[in-house]
Amino acid sequence: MPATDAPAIILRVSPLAPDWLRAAFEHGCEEEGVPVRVAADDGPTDDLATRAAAESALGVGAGAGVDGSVAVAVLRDGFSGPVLRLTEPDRLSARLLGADAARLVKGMPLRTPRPHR
Amino acid sequence: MLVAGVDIGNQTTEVALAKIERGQAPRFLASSLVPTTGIKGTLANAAGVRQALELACERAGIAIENLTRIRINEAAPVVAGVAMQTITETVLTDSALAGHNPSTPGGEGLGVGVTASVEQLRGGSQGPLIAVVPATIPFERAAAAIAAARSEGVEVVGAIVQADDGVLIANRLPGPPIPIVDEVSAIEAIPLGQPAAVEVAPPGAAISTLCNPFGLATIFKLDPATTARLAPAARALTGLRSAVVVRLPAGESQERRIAAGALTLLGERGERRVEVRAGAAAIMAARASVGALLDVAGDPGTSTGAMFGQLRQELSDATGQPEAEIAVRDLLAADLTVPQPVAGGLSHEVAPERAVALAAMVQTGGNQARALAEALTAELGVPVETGGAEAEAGIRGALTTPGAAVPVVVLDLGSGSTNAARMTPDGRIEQIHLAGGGALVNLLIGEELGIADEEWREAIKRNRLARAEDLFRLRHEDGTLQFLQSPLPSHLFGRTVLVTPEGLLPVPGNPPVERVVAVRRSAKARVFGTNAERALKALAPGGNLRFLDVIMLTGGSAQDFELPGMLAAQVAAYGLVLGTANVRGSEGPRNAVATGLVLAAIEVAGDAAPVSRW
Repeated sequence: MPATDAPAIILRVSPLAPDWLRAAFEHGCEEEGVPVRVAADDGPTDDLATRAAAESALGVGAGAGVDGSVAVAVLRDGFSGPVLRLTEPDRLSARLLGADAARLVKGMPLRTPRPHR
Repeated sequence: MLVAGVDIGNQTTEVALAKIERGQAPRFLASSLVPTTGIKGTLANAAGVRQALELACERAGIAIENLTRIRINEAAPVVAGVAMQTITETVLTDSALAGHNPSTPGGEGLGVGVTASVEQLRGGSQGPLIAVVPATIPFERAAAAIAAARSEGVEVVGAIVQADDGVLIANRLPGPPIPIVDEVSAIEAIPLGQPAAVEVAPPGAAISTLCNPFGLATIFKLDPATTARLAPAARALTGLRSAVVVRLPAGESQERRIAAGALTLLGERGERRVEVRAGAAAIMAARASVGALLDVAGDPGTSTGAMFGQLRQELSDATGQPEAEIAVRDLLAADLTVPQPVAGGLSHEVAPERAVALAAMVQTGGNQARALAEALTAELGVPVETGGAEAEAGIRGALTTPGAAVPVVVLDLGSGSTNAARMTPDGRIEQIHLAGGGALVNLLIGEELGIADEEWREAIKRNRLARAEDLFRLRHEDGTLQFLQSPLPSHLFGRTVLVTPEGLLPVPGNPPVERVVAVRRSAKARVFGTNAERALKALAPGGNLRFLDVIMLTGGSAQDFELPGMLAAQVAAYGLVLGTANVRGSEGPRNAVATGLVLAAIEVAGDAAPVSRW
């Protein structure tokens, strides 16, 4: 099986999204032990996240769009769309969002259940 | 005439309102239920009685002044209090431990070495070392420092990390994995230059060495006495995926022991002394052996003595009787396991400690009910009388249940006490009042789950559980999977929740569903299961439950969603039928005493309608 098909959270990032945002999100996923794969894309955050979720074998994706925001979306039981969102992420909150994306996969309580919304 | 029956309970005050005409069965017009004001059997009850009467009269479309007569229960002479005493305590004298269970420790295995700051690994010692990493050091730098030290021949065999960085560090270390415990909040409490051990089990497994007293003895070369002292500490680490134990310089913390003490039970058949540490079964055996209980005392200077002193004082405050005159007339003991903070722990560790909870019942003077009746007569302008024994009224009320007949035993599951009465075909009534009810169930649930809030304890007792397995999936406690139309709020995701009429509530601490269910059911069994058995034995001819026939449940806890089923299963072993009363065919297990008080008024007036027909 090609590596690109392995189950992973998919993060679709706009070229305008800063590197630290991508790295922080990836570290959050890594600490939780869930693979994450990054793909370059462009568009509104929610669209990127929803597309990424549809593409992910885990049904969990994230998008970092042109406006600097970042969102996590799921594709589950017929539902498709963003469920967690940060409008002004910093390193810590972006890492926690990555951890929470991983926890959505693992079925564990989220690290920061409320502030995302 | 219009008659109101008022039942003042430990928790609720209930009213039944009926129109009684000569030669006819009474016509019940309304019922009401309000929280009891003050302690049952005291003048403070008047406010609640008035409120309950106003509510019932409003529902019936009449004014209180229209009432011909009001009958209140001669409050069964009981006040029940509950107390809990932990009888074991983990105190660490030689070690500090972090049995903290981070969700994502790094690496795996067992590392034994001397603690050293991650920035001073290359300071001279060739190891083996345990790296200590404060949150101020980013994971990349920590991993680089450990890798650099190892490349220079320093043996680094494990790490203790303050931040949630265990996996990130482990993933950046070349060579064989080392155990890394992270999220150790009190990292500054870890002394440097001390022998320490770090253990991380593979995913899905639990540690095997640090939770074993002899494992600790092997690692730290402990003598037998120290090994025995550390055994409770090892127990605190059992079942965890990762742990840290650091040996402290000798004499840094002190040992403290509390004697649990003994209870002295004085009864009609003599006096018995029983050690509290012997447990609930031994205490209840002693309780049964002394016959009718006259009083109970705890050894002064022990935790048991302190508990009874406190109980006596609370009951004295509640009833207005001097402490010396408070006589304990019944006692219910229940074993429980309480999570207690480990003295010397590093990350708020708790260890399961044994404890015994006690509910005690005392007698209060019978003139309190009469005083209350007089006060209410003056206040309401309607004659208020006391209506005979509560048990009798309870049976009369319960017998209005469709399908009910004598002989019958009515088991009233209250909040403070469990009361039972048996009526024989010839109309004789025997009764018994036992300490322990819904309040003790709440105490057991709260203490065992480490939940202090009384509303939460009550909510856990009354509601079923589920697990929010996914954003759209709710797994109920019986295994049923429910698919949801819209995603669950993110604060419920992955959590154990109560399924309440008001919605889903996340249980504090997120304990597994199975554990909460086990604690909840066992708490109900330890209180009401035990009391049902005691009551039925006391009322059964010759103490043999097989000579009883039908048992009806009344009282607030009879509305519990699982308790009637649990008790029915328990007595089925004796071939007995048990069911929940449906007073007047409409009130469920509520309002039995209030209804019975109204019915008794008819007989007082000489207009007896047969009890079975009312």
